[in-house]
Amino acid sequence: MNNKRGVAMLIVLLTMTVLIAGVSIIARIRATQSLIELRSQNMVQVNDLFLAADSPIRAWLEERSPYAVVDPTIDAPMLLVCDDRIEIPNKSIRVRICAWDQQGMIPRNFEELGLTCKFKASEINWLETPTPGLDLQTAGSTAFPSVKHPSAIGGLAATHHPWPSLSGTTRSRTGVAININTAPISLIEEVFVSYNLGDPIDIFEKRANHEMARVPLSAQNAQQSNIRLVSTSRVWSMRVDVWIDTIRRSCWCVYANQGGQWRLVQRLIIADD
Amino acid sequence: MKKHHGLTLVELLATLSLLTIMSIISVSWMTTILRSQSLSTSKANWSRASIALLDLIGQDILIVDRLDTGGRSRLPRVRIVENNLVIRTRDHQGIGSQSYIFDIVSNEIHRIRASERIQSNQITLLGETTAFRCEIEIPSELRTLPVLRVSLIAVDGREIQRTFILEQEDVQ
Repeated sequence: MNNKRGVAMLIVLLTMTVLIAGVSIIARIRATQSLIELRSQNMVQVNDLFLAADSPIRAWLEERSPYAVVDPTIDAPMLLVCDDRIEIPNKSIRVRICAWDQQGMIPRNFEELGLTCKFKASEINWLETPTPGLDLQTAGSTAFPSVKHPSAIGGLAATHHPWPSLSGTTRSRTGVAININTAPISLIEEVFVSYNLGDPIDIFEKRANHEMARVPLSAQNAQQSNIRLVSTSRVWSMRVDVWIDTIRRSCWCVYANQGGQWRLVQRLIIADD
Repeated sequence: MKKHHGLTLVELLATLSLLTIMSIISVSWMTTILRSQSLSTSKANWSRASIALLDLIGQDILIVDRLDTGGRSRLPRVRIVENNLVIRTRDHQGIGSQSYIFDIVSNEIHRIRASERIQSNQITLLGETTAFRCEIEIPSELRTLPVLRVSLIAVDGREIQRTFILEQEDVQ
């Protein structure tokens, strides 16, 4: 009697093993397929959000950028544009947009202007290219600044200021503009000392109180030289970070004010960092 | 009289027969499952590769550089040439054109990069494909922005398609 039970148990175990193996194989295939489809949907939504981010960016450029003031304790011309979380059923979305002022960075022709840059000219790959971009940097994604690392090379050295010309050299016809409300203290101090423009302490005090500083009279002399001091900027770069569930992607956009209209000049995808 | 506790011949034969039948059924079932798994894996691989291809097209469309005027030809940034998709974009090597070309003979889709410095750099992205269709729809009364529709059809008839939103400047 016991032997019969043993045989029956063996048969049951064999059947169970085959069934479990089969079911697990089918489940694995289905799960992989559904994960691929979900990721694909998320990727499409991420790309759509990159395009949709254009509207809030333009709104900020139109309404807020003329009054942008960067805290003087930050050593990069960075401002947070928005950080929104969108909760929809079964999905968590976050969009963060940060702006870096191109006219608050070291200009492309810093050597010509006699300014110093913590990066060597040889390290900045875009200096002589007609279509500059942070993607040309060999450092890869670390060239793009972020909220955690606002002082990466792309946050301190301008790619689109002065405006690049098609011949690959920088246009000096309109001169270089430095925004006193966004540029790092070290850059403003250097410009004031190099061009003998007086004391910039009033600018820093205003900025520390989150107030807009005006170009001081003593700095009007600079208007005659290769460098101009301004209080608002016409070229901004934006980093757009999008999170959808476990996916995170980022892009880098450059906007320029041309003829009173803000125009998207460049959009680059930031490789995973 | 000594009592025997072992199995009778009939019981043994019945057990063996049952085991044989169960083995045949399970082996046959496993073979079917494995074949199905292989087919599903192949389908999943095609789906994965086609999705990656569409993601790559999406990335090429997203990356723009308006300082690049397209050279002397002044051709649109996104265009379809003989049912092949050509996108003028940029990467770490600089500005260049990415062409997505369907090879009817090998049933493969290739991506060819051409720039001023490097003439071409071809990679095969997807095989087992019978058709690669691209279509640009220009703005109309119903649509304010141009769109690009790309569809891929596998040898077993499965189709995957995606619509990309373009900007006016992309097709001008």
